[in-house]
Amino acid sequence: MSYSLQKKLVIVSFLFIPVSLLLLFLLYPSLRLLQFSLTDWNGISKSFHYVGLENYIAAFKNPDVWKALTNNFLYFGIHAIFIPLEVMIAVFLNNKMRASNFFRSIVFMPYILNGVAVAYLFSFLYNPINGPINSLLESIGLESWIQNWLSDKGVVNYSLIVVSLWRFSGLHVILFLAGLQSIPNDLYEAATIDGAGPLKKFVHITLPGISRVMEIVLFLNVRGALQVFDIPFLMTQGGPGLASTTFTVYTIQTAFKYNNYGLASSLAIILMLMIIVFSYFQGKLFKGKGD
Amino acid sequence: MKRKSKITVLLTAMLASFTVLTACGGNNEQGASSASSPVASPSASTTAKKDKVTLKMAIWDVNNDFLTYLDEKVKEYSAVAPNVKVELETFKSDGDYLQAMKVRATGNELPDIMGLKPNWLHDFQEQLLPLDGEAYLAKNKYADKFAIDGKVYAVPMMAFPELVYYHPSIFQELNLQVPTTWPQFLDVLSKIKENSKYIPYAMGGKDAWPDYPFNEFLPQIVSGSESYLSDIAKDDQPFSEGKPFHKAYKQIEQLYSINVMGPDPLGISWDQATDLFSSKQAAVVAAGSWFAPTYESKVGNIDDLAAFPMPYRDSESEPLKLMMFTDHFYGITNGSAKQEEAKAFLNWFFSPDVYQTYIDAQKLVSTFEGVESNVPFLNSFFANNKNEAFSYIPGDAEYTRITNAIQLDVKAIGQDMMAGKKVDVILPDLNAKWAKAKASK
Repeated sequence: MSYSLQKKLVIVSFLFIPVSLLLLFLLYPSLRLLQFSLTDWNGISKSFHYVGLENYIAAFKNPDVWKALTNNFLYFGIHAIFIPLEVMIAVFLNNKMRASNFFRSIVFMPYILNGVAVAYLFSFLYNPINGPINSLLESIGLESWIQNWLSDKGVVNYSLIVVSLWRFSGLHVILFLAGLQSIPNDLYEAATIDGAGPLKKFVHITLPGISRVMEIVLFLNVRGALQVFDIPFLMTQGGPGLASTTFTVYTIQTAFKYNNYGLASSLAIILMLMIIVFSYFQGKLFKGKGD
Repeated sequence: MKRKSKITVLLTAMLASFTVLTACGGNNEQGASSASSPVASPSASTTAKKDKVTLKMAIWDVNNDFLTYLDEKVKEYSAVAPNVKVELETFKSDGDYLQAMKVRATGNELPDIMGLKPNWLHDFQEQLLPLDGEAYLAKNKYADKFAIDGKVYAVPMMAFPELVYYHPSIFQELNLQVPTTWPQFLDVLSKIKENSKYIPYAMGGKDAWPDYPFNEFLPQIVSGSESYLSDIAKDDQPFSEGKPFHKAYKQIEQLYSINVMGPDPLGISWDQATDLFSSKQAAVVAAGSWFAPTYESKVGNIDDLAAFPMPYRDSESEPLKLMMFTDHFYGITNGSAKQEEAKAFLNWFFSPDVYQTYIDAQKLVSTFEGVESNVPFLNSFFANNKNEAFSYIPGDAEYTRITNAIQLDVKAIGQDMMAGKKVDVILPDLNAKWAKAKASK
């Protein structure tokens, strides 16, 4: 057996299992998803018909889908607004301060908690009967601030976004912190010698230094905001009415509650495309600025 | 370059072989399972003449005690048919159960005998065996009503009335009479509100489904026609003024607008709402008679619990119909390789002696003639309240198609109404969507 044949054999045999797993569990289901998105399958029936792009057209024409998407963008926008704050917290935590390790782990803690547990925790906090938040407001004399946190259509999304912020900001802070720690100290020292102030150092050293991390966080934000599911599904089931329904909640309900697997599959494909497109443009926008 | 292209060829070949393999796998499954079952244990033929057969059966129920009972009961069948073993799979919630069955239906792996809710019958019709000609059908009081195209696919094992529960002690304290018309009902709730000691009605609006006695059932019962849901599938504008749906929703709007459901009905869940009722902080709650055992297990007794039929009518001159919901339908799947054994099992399962234990474990109303359940609470309810039974019949295939297409969720509409959305805004919009979906066949 020649050397090159041996080499090929090794490569092929090593690659066979991971590649076949990938094909079986990623590519095959994705292709089936694409196939179902072109049918009127109801999820139970043994047969289905091909309907072309009808599901996609129906999805675009459906005002409820757009309503759900605007909710997603609310998550995206508010999370994006909080990114500068997260950078600031990371900068503080990066400084040598008392018990910084303790604060670093505290900040990360919400992310480790199980999502279902978080949802139940906040359901309890928002509870209109003996709920801690309302009790707290009452005890400090702010009765007028008391809201129907999860049942008022104008409030419910913000209540849920607070939960999302609480849960995911810690992850972003830790990522920024890792980015900050990867910036060599020499740069700051050189800048100090050159007479740069803290603001200049931040703008010209820190920000470019964490641009890779920023890219990752922005991607996570796009992906997370478009896919947000567990918090609204567990806390309000998308209600009251459709007030807190997100795109993924809507997709799940289309498939499992209304037996419309065809439309749900097309929504899943649309979601995938949206994430790709948004990430691409965000990356472009950011690269243009960073370089 | 050359090597690269070879690897590409190899990968493509692998992909192709995988696709073929998975495709074959799907086709082979059925053949393999049907072939393997009869030859499962040839050695057993020394003890029994027939081959050993295992029947798979699946059901859901929230009540753990009932599931334990059923698990024990189906084991007794081995005494009747020594070669047959029944394996019961249970689920705690109907949602999880439905999910699992849908997935199995696509993989041709449904159990031999499956439990169904009435509104799933149309969805699973393709997977079920018609039971025509079976002797027990003649004795079942409800099975015929759920026939599809003249064929009965599943038999209901229990029925229960939809009730409005109340605390007699509160009614006594506030000197209130049990209402029998809608204006009286609203009046009673308003009086409890005026007194301000109790929350008049415990609504777990956060969960959406607890508004079903109103938003789901009221249009049907107001229409007076058991086939109402299938009827509106033939109507282009079923939500217009003057039609039962509009009338019922106007009534519901009256109820929601007098604010008798506590400070935040949409903020509390069903569990919280029933806690309010059980702890006597709330006076009234509407639910099926399945709620009474839950209440009893929470409170310890049913001394301060009574019920009346939903007083939906305008005046006492109209008859008062009582919504009866049938549930736990059992059917045989047509993909089963053991249909004969499954049929024989159902004959035993529906026999009066076995059925009596079933309905007593459920504490609900019997669906078979000649068997009466021993439930004191229901017996006293039926003794004290005169009314006509009205069966909940789910809509037909066309109704299901239209409602799925427009994603009609009357319970979510109920939430919207509690949040203040007006019926006059909701229904014209529904009419438009309905007409469009109906036309787009």
